[in-house]
Amino acid sequence: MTRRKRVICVWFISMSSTLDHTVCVTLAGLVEELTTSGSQTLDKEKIKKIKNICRTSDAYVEHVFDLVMKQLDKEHSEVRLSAFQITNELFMRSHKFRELLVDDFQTFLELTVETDHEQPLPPPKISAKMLREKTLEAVQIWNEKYGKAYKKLALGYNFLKHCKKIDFNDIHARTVVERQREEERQTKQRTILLEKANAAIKEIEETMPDIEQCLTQSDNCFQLLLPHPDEYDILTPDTENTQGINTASSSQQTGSNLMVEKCQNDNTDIAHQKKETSNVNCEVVKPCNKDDDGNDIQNLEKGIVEYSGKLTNGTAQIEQKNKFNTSHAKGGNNDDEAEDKEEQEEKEEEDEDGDDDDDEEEEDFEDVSNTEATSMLQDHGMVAWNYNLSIEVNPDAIHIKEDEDNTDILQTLYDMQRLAMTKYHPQIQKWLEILSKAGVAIDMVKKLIDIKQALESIKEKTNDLRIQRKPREIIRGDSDSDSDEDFEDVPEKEGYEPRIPDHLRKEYGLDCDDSNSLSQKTKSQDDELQDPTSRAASVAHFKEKLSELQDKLKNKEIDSFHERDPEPSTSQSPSKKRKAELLSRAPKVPYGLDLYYWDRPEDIVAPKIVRPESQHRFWVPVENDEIVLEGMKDMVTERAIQFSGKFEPVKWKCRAPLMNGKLCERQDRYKCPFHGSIIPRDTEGTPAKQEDIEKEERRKAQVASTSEWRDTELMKDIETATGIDLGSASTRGKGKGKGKGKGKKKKYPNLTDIKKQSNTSRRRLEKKVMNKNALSRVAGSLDAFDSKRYKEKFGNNFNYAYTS
Amino acid sequence: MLSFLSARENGTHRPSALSRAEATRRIFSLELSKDRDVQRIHDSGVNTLDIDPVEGRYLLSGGTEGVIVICDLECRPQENYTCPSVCTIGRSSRHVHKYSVDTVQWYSHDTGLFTSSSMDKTLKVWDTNALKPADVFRFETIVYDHNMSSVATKHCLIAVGTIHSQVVLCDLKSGSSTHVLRGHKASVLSVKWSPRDEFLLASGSRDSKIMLWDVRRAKSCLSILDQHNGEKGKGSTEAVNTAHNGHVNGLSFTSDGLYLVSFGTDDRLRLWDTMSGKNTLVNYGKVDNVSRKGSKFTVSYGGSPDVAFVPMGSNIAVFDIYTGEYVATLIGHYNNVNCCTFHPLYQELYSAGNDSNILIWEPELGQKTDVAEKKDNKQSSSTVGNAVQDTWSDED
Repeated sequence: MTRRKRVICVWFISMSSTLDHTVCVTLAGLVEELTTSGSQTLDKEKIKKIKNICRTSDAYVEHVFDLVMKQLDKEHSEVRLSAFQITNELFMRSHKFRELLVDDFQTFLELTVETDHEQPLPPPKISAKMLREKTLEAVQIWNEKYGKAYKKLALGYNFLKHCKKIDFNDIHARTVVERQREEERQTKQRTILLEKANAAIKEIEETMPDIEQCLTQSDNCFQLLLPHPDEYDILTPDTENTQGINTASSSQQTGSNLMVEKCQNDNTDIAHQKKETSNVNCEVVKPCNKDDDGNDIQNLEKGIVEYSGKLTNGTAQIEQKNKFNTSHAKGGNNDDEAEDKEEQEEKEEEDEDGDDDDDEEEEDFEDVSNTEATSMLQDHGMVAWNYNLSIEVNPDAIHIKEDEDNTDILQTLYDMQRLAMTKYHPQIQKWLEILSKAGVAIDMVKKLIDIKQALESIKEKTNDLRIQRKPREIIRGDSDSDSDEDFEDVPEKEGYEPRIPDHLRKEYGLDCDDSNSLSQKTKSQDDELQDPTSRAASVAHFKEKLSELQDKLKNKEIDSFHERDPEPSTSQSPSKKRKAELLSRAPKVPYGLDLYYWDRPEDIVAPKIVRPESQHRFWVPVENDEIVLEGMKDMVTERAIQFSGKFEPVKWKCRAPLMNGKLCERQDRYKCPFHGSIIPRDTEGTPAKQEDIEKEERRKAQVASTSEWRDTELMKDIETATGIDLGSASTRGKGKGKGKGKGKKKKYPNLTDIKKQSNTSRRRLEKKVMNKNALSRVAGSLDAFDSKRYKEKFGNNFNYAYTS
Repeated sequence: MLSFLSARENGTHRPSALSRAEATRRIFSLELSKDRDVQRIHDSGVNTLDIDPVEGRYLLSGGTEGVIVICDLECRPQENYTCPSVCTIGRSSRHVHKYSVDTVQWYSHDTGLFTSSSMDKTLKVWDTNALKPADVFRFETIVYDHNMSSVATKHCLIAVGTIHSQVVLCDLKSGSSTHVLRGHKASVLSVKWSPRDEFLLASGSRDSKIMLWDVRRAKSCLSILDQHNGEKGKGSTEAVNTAHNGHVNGLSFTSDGLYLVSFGTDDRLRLWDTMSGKNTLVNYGKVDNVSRKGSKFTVSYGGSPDVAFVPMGSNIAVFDIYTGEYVATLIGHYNNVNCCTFHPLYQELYSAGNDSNILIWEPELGQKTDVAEKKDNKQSSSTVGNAVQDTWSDED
């Protein structure tokens, strides 16, 4: 209300001759230019001009104030920023301006510092922020300078300071609202995190038993595959002594781990002896794998594959024996390639009973031959003092091999490993993330980390075991991989196992010979063929006959062809030659109706429609004749030929320069509908050939000349006078209209376009999808679909016949 | 003014005519005081103000934080004078109201006593000198408004409007509530004693009714004010008479007690004849009412057309109450205005709002010239003078 009053007042004053109209116009222009410049600083020249004008009279100050306030009200922060800067300049100068502004200080603050939360600052965020900060700075300065003289200014400053809690020392000048918002956001986030963490903890509690079960299962599997060394300490010193040397020879029976231990024991023994006699040179080569955290499995599993004892100094018999042993060991290896404790033990116990006997025999023999050694053996577990023992342990060659005894264990182990790595591991990873983000339940986190490590160790262990799965697995891929096929396809593959170990053949119901089932089948087929009574034999017979016949026919054909159409170039008459030539050129078309009538066009009969005679008793259609379709006659002689050529896509573009600086993108073959025939152009769009350039110029000149005589203004005048459309709107007027639109858009080209910023992909899609036409089209098709369905459903019902 | 003086000297006018004319002139020229300030104690919004009727010197104010402040308004001829606070019942006090203080009122005969009611469901009677409550009335519900008669000699009742539909009368003599006036259907937002008849009480409620009570007759109300004056219009098909089409959240008697002004959330002001209980049908136009609790507007005192000062958003609208003419808008607050109170002796207006300012509006009558003269005297030294000067720099 007061504003309006003041405007009236200003108007009144301006009427009262203190204001010059032209000056006012220039003022308005200056203010508009300044505020729509889009720059963050004011043009010094322009502001100086404004100041100079304002200096002359207070009336101008009022006028400027109104102009500026109007600009401050614009929904564009850049405009507001510039307007505020003008305000600031004038505020520092004019008392009148100060009075006016202070009177309207509430509005001013609302427009610049967003004191009213319902009126946020308009879009370009950067300038809005800048506006806020600059205004607050300015208000502070104003208050220091003029606060005493202008009460409301001081009040406004206090209001900002106390009520809006603006810390004027804070450069960023965040209001309480902003701070609150931030706090709220943070608390929200925290609560969300906490909720997540709680849910995760719940989930953990639920799944923990499963994971633990998985862990214990896999642990048990490992136990079964490879007992822990602690539990494996079967050998006591006594048995060691009594077993004596034969432990070395029967090492392949007792298993690799035993062997290792044995070696270790030997080693200590030897060292012990060394002290006494210092005569024995013992060499134990034992490659040890690094194992993590006292995990002795590797130590054990890297059992001895080859054991070779080398006697440097001893009897030939011993040598022999050792050779025997090594050969035996090698034999054992050949059997199974690798040795695993349990399976090996169990399996070989059956298989190699004979070997044991042999060993015992050997032992006896040994005992007889070398009593000294026996006593040594009894005392120290050594055959003799003076030989070197070199034991080579080959870790690479050892694997756990899958067989029917451990296949279940391995299966479970793989299942568990897969479960652990694909399900639990990522799950735990996720939980850890959530919990560590929320920063709660630290002991839970620790526990989770432990479990994670345990899960990882399962994988490592399985890797370290080097399990040799059944061949089919190996064919399928690395057994360590977590892929699903390893597990899903196992039963399927049973039948395809190409090689079955001999000892298993009986189980599979196979003979021991090498021929596989496929060869057997072919064999049986051959057998059948031999039998003349079988169907296969007769079929084969007929086949043979047929092929003979075909061969014969082929030969005949070739012969006849040669007879009829021998080499034309050499021996034929010219007419025939021509005919042949024509024939070769003549098109070949499939037979059709047109060919049917081709040689007798007079026979063509127009197609008729024969109406069936009415079955009705008394209602008879008037014309019951046949309808002859004369027009259809031509159809019979016509033939639709499909384009047999190959479509070549146009590889060039028109590339004529367009108004907007781009090049024409049309891909016409010969002629662009807008820019004429297509000519080679360079990247700028100018024609490559000189003549083309001239042509283009000529055309342009023509266009210009045609439009020149059509003076748009004049045409428009004439049009408005006569009311006849002379086409000014279509040629130049259109251009002008466009220009108008552009002008509107480019009215303030320096300002950031607020609307443009909202041009997101979503908005663009919206434009397309929510388009009126598109909507109506979609709705129409849906309606059509509905009605169609409806008709299909109810169209036959008498009840509904008239409803739709 | 000179003509009034001479007329008075001649005896053609009654002596009151001069004072009335001058008062009216002053009332119509209220502006934000340039020189005077009230010390800023309240941290949050101020809900209520009251000036002591005995000396007109102490301003009582109650804030939304439960703080009650008493300021000394005695003016000293000085340029920037801030009215100091005499005493404060701050948050540190043991007796402070827990929640927002909605109404404060001086005892009409002595500044040694004042009353305050609050959202913490209590009405406290304070001993000003000790700054301790002499008595505390506790209610079951939030207290919206209370009022003590300024003219009562035969009773000492405080009318209390609460969230319950009844008006409770508390007797200061016995220290307990004596009556309950039943009649309203919804919470009572405003109660006012008539300044003319010591037993006449008006109450405005959320059920959009205004009731006049004679407290001697507790059975039923004297009358229910009807905005249509009994004429059944299109809108008044209901049996009950309503004063507004929304809540009635402000009531104020004119100083002579002949008229009652009411303010409702239907954005209307209405003027009622208290004698007949009729709506005078004065049209004030639309007056924005943003308050959903009581809106404490005031009516001037001693002017020949009296005016109503009505909080309207962050401004105060001034209306001629008899003609409904819009007089002016007082712009000064930066947030919603909660209350205004009129100083009857100096024709000043005090207003307070959510921006925690208490603003003084005083008549702006030619003092400018005095200031200008003063400025001329000490032109060079006065900073204010410099600030007011134009400072066009020559370099431009």
